[in-house]
Parts: sequence; structure tokens; C-alpha cells
Amino acid sequence: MGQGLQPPIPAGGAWEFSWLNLSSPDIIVVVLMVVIFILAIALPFPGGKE
Amino acid sequence: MSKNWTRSLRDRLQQEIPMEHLLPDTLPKYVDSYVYLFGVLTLAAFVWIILSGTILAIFGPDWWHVSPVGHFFNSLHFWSIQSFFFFMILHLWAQFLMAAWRDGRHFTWIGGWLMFLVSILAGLTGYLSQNNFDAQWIAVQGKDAMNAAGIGGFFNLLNFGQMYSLHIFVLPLILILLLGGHLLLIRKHGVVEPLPPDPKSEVRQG
Amino acid sequence: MKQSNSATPDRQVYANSRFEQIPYDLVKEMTWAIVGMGALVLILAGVFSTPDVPMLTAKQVASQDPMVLVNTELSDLASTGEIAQYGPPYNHNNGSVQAIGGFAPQTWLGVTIPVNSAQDNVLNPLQRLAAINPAVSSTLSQWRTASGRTQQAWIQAVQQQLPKATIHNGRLILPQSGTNLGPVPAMVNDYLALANSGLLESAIDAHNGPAPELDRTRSLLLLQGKADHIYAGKLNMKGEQWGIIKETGNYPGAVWLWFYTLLYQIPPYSTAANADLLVVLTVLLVTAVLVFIPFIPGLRSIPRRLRVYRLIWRNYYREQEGQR
Repeated sequence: MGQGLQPPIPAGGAWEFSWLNLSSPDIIVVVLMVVIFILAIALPFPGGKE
Repeated sequence: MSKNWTRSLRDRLQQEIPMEHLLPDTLPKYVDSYVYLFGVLTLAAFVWIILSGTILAIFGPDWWHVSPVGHFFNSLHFWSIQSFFFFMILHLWAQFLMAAWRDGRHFTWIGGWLMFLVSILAGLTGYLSQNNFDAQWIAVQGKDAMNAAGIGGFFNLLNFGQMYSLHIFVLPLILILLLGGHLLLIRKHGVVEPLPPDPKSEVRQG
Repeated sequence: MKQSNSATPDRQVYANSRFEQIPYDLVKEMTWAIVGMGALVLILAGVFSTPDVPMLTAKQVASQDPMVLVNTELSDLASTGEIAQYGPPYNHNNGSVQAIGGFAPQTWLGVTIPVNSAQDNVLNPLQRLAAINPAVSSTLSQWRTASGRTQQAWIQAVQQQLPKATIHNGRLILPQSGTNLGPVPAMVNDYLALANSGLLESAIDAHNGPAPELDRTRSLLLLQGKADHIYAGKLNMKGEQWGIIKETGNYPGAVWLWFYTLLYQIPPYSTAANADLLVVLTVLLVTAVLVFIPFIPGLRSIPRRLRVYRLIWRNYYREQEGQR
């Protein structure tokens, strides 16, 4: 039997803290969403200046 | 009985949403922020979902597992979907923060939510159509929630054929119809006006 | 044209035309959005590709951890497994029926996908094997002619020995053999042989009407318990690991389901026996509130209080306030 069931790839990276177990790529996506949202509000829009 | 249905429909459309409003060449000056791009980016991602999904549908559900070209189109589909949800959620945040349901635009808001929910179903059935461990795991894990809610008996996550046909025809069709309605409503009402400068006035829904 | 520059709010006036206009090209914007998005997804697809971990098969379980398959077979055969005890929509038991008081939508439609795990997952596939290997027929007829009590006694006798049993070359080796085990050891060996051949799933689903490959309900239910959970655990994708929003490997998953998944991690949901029902109802309720927020006083004023709109429309307000 040896190792038992073995998936062909290792588990994806995750950030674990207490009951949190969040996939690193998911965290990157959420952080990107927040950053892009803040930038979209903060940056002056170039359109309509003519 | 003399009423002409065709003419009534045409008059109605012309009154509700004349061409100048449907395809505008000017916008109010307050439309002046990058947040206004999230909607159109969501729509653009949806176009790529449909294009890549059509290629995948033409060659059938096993193609992308065995062909590098197929795998590339699967990747295109996957990242289009990630982008679609990414920008849809940003669009939702922006519309919420602008209280964009004001002045008679509540059906635009509700329709947007309906599209979000149908998109989630489309995503779920898409995951289930993959024919890999991800699909297998989501099916056996998700079935308990569907069964507990009483819909597992006819919405069977373990039935690949059902999930696949929902995913490649029924749900995209519903999404496209809802999307058409959403865009027409946006153009009918125009872009939501800024909230009154006086912060004490109540937000009306109209 | 009904467009007018009248300042009075009027049903017939297009609201937008009351404001100063700037040039805009909708078609150009849409076209560039599609081109830009196409470039983005082409780059993402080219650089990152997509994961594709093959399905976990009975063949893989039989070769990598056969005792899991043996345990599954015996509990299915004894009708003590999770699916045998499940309840609607698979059968009339109530092992997995979720209710809040008397509110149990799971029972409303009754049994619409009948599953008998002993028949569907063990006996029918072995019966198909008997067509190829006649020795299986006599094993099965010994099983069929026995009483239910005898069958259960046989299974329990084998199950008691399993902790000390081994599997060698696809055959179950028990510490003690004996007539009190009946045909069960032979049925285990036949089942392992069928699994090792890669034909077990097809033998199970072959019973499902005209297009068995399109509906894999029963073969998926075979491995849904222990085998799938061990495998998913090694991929860090179990339910209590927020598995619902995870993708295999290092890829983003269904991040948009974060709220649904979050509920499973926290009390009272994380400890409730009817967690699925509670979570589904909570999500439906919260979604309904968000959908109908335009009609809910107080909640619909949150954006006004947050004042982020002042930033989005800052140029407009600056101009307005400058005019005063």
C-alpha cells in the first residue's frame, strides 16, 4: 500500500491561520480586485478632457 | 381590432428608447472615472467566454484533455471566466457605492443580480463539465447542499449529461437574454446621476 | 425628438440630457474593451495554462489503497454505508436528511434517483463479471441463496478481520479463513479484480438507462465517501479547508463563492448536522436582501453614508460647489 492514494500534483499553496485555510491564488485575486478598485477611483480619468 | 401590433411595438420602442439613447455619442460630463469601465470589461470578458466556449463545444468535452490546442482553448475559457467574475464584482461594488438603483433604475440593479446568480450556476455547471477530479469532487461535495435544498432530485450534479447541456446551451441563453435586457435598461434610463450634493437628502429609489 | 434642455424634472425628459455632455463613442469603447480583454486572456492562458487532474478512478484506488475500496464495498454490500442510509433523493432512509424542525425540503420530491448501493455498486457489477468469469456465478449464487442474517454475519466476520488483513497481488489475505466468512472473501477478490481492470465504473453505470456514460451518478457515489475525501485532503481541497472556492493546484478557484464557503467554517454552521440547509437558506436570505436593497430603507442609504460617491464624482461636485 505504501503511500496510499496519491494525486499527480501537490496541493496548491495556502495561507493557514486558525480556522482560515485560504488558497494563495485566491488571495492574490482578491487583493488584485481591491487594488484595482482603489486605483480606479483614485486615478484621474483622462477621458473627456478635450 | 384595427390596432397594428407591429406599429405599436415600433412606436413603443421609439418612445422608450430612441436610437440616440441606445447608441449615444455623448455622455453626461459627470461620467468621469475608471469605475465606469468595469461594466464594459465584464461584457468583453463575456464575449471571450462565448468565443472560447464555442470552440470547446464544437470539438466536444473530451478534446481539451487530449489536444494541446484544446487545452489552450480551455485555458482561454478559464481565464475569461476569471476575468468575467473579477470585473463583474468590481462593477457591482461601483454600482453599489453610487447607489445606481436610483430614479427608476431598480430593475437594472435586480437584473444585474440575476445575471450574477445565473453566472454562478453557469460556473458551477462548467466546473462539473470538466471531466476531471475537480468536477468529480465538486459533484460529490455539492450534491449534499442541492439535496438538502430539495433540488438535487432534478438538478443532479452527478449527471454529467445534464450539467453539460445546461452549461453549453440553457444557461448561456438565459445570460444573453438577461444581458440584452440589462443593456436596454441602462440605455433607457441613461447613466445614473450623481447623488445630490447635499448629504442630508435621503437616497430615493425613485 | 423628446430630448429637451428643460431644467424641470419631467417624465418625458431623458434624465441624462439635463446635464452638460461630453463626446463619447460607445462602439469604439466596446471594440477596444474586447481587444484589450482578448490580449489579457491570451496572455493569462499562454503563461498560466489550466490545471487538469484526472478523475479518481476505482482502478487507482484498487492499486494505491485497495483497503479503502474493500471497506467501501463491504459497507455498500451491508447497506450500512453513507449512501445506503442517505434518504431522498436516493432512497427512503433518513441518514443524510437535513431539516430545521419539520422543514425538510429534501423530502418533498421523494426518491427521484433510486440508488440501492448493495445492488447498484456491488452485486450488479459482479453479475456482469460473471458473464466473463463463470466462477463468479457460483460465488454470487451462494450469496443470493443465503438469508439476510447470514449475509450480514458473513460481512461482519470479514470486517472484524480487516484491521489485520493485507492485500497482496490484488487478493485479500485474512488472518483466519473459515466457513463463517461465506462467499464474501471471494466477492472481495472479484471486486478488486474488476476494479483493477478499469471496468468497475462502467459495470456500475451500465445499469443507467440508454446512455450510461452521460449519467455517472452511481459510480460517482461509490467513491464519494472515504476515497474522494482522502484524495481531496491531499490536494488541500476538503470542505473545512475552504475547498469549495479552491481549484486543483496553484490556480484561483470560484472566489465568488467566498460567502457561501465562509459560512461552512463558522458556528453555528460548522457544527450543525443540517449545515447544508442552514447555509443555503442563509445565502438565499442575504442574496434576497442585496437584490431588493433599492426598496429597503436604511440599507439603501449606506452608499450615501459611505461617501465613496464623492470621490467617484469629485470633479462634478467640485464644479457644482465652485458655481455656488
